Amino acid sequence: MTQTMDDLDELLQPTVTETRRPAQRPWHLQSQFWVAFFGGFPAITLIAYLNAGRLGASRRKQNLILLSGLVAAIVFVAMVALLEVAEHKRTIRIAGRLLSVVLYLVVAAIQRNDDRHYQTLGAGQYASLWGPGLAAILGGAVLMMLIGAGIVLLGS
Amino acid sequence: MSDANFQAARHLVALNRPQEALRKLGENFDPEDAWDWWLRALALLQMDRGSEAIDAAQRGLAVDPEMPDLLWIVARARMEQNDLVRAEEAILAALRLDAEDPDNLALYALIVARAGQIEKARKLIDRARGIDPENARALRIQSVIELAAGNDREALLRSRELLALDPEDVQAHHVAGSVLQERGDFDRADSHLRSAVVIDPARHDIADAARENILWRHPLMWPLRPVQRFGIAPVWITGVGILYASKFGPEWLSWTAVWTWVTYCVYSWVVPPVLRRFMR
Repeated sequence: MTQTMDDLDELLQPTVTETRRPAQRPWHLQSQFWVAFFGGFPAITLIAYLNAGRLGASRRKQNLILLSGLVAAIVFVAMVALLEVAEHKRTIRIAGRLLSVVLYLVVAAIQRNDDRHYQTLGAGQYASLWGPGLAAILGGAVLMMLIGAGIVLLGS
Repeated sequence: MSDANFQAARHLVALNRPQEALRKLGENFDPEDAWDWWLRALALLQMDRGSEAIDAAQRGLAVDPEMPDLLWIVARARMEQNDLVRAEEAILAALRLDAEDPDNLALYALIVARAGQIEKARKLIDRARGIDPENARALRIQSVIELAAGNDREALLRSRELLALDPEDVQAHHVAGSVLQERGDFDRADSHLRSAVVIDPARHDIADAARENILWRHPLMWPLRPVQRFGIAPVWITGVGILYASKFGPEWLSWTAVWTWVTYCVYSWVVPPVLRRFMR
């Protein structure tokens, strides 16, 4: 009985210190797939990072997204460095796309709980990803080409 | 206010007719009666006039500072305004007066759940249900908390438990419909969502969910159900995998696979928005 009362006393202590109030509406998780598929790992890392902030996710989760993007970048650089680009251009392109899709699955899983929380207990309204998504895709695709070209130049 | 008038106004609030309740209250309002302020605040809360509800509740608290029901209204209104810190202050003040009130415990659970503290919310709800296992408010909030935590099975069980107590609980129908829709069981989801819309036509979020479910039940959407059920990434990975596998077969197979995939993609981009426009 005493233990139950102590538990209740602990439960009735104030613990809410800040309000989860995202300034902007988040984007749908499913829509981010297109950003990953067409824009590569830089695009999806950026969009997922920004979206995690919009969902009110913790700093730890946002850092985890950045870390996942960094790992994908390292894998991509290693792949380009190890394979003969002229002979394996198609393989690199396919593997890069597959890498980005895998990264999408990882960052979507990181965001999933906060997304569900937002849908159920938050405002539940989403913003369109068309504008930011297209910008991220263009920027991401260019960045990946530059990375690939840079590695080839360094190699030669 | 006379007891008959008060009961009539209270009944109107229970029927979700707050404007009429306010008119009835205005006939013989007693500013020295905290219960009159309580009913006025409740009606204003139902009308989404949170600031006025808080003002009315605080005027009632000036008459009777130790009335938990008024503190509950302040907490609820602050929560709806997303001022969770002050919502918590108000509900803890109510709980200091009566720590065993399941309604107060349930509201506190919802406040902390909105703040992202799901485990604490669960403990509070367990406490509330331990005191009153058939408390509808606690059950309702429990189903919402489990849905927010991604525990769909538990959310569905709680909402069914609630519907056994009250077959016209809007929130229970909404939660059950949402979970079933997520699982791809659009027919059963439709039954729940339509019931919710009939019971409370003013809830636009439920009406939107019901319309979306009707869309998914349309025969033209059947080819797209795997996307809704499993997510876009697994469907694309499967599709692209089949495309590459077909390259090892005869050329006609490869061409058929490519054009089937292209058609499927175009179909998925064109059909849903056209159907939505048509159904509107």
